[in-house]
Amino acid sequence: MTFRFLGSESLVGDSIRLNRFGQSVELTEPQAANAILGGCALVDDETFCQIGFAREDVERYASSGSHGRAPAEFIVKKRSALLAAQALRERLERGETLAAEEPKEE
Amino acid sequence: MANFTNTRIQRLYVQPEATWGIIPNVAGVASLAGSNCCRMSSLAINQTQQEIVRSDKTGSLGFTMGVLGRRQATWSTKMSLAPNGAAGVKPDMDPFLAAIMGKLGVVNVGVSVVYGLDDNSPSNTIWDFNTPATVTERCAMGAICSKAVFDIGVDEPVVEFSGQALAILDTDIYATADSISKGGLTAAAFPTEPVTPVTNGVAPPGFTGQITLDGNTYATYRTGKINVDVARDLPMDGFNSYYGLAPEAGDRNVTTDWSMYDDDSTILSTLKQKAYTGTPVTLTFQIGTVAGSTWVFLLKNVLLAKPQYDMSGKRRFVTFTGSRTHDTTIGAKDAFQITVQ
Repeated sequence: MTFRFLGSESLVGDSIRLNRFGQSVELTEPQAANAILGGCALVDDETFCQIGFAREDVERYASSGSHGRAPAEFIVKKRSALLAAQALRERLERGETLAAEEPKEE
Repeated sequence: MANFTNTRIQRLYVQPEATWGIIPNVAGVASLAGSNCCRMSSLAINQTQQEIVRSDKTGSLGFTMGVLGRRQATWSTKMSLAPNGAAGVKPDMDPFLAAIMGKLGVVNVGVSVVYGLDDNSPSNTIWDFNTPATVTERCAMGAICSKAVFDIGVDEPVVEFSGQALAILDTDIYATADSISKGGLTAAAFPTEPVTPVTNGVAPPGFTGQITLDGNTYATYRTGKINVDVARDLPMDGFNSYYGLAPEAGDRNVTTDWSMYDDDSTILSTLKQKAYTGTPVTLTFQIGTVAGSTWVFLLKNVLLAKPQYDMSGKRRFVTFTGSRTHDTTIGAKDAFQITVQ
């Protein structure tokens, strides 16, 4: 699964270093669950794109230190992404999986 | 040939305990995971067990062999003040902050995590893993936190936590450990280190942020400390027990010390006057400026220590040492608050 990073820096094991906002990373479901439960701010790529981040957003505001001068629209989108990341974390804390929930039949 | 271990290759994992002295586990197997990792610059866990020496005279100056007394465990760890980096996500040191403050932090999603005070004594299991895995690996269970010291204004802001623990379990004694030292584990072997540790965040430069003393912002602040001292311990006088009893807690004493450049400004003069008149003030120490990587320490109802003048530098300093915070009302528990935002 592809995830996008929302934090300042996270180390996942010995080989994965995330240090850019919007950085893309491929993780298996167990890897992602471990990382998210460990506080790594990740959101799935689909949600990240749905929120509407443009490529320029990710390039211009790759460093979390630059977010202080980002426009309000970016901050709103970032907040939405953080809310989505928290929802993922809460799902895992409840013992659920990362896979999308099946739609309920009427 | 025997293997050595390098002290740099050490990792700390910390897990909040649901029940004091019980290592988090599922059916006797530790639930330790890479998600519990927390970077630190030092970790020390120690167990002592005194020899009870028979005091009767023998007619000679030598000791006769005594018997082993109670087992006492202590721990301390020091780490940089690394927030998560994403606003509203708990920092890796969250279990230690909860343990010193007395309750869990409150998450405001996307905004902050707020740690307030309470009178409880949450406990943790602290794991100490080293490489190679064949050396002694350890954990301290029932670890309560009685002291935290936050360094403000230094290049690398750090915090040191310390306290007592119920017992220490390690790979050498695992097979023969008693049930208290096992902490609820029943697996055949001591847990191995998780293969994928996860750590987050970068500490902000400790000299950036905003220092607000009694409503005024100062750029003349140099360095200081916040000392959180909660008289928590494990009573070591229980009958028929080699271990400490369940946590007890005494006074919660939060003080701050700091040094700043002295000047003749009206605001500093007013602050000094409040130290002399015993007028309580509010202090806010903000470390960092970037969202998600900022700490805010709020100290309320502070009775300022009398200013002392320090002539050791080229420019005169004024220091306020041992200024104590107070709750607004009995039971308000609002003397001190930490916000990671």
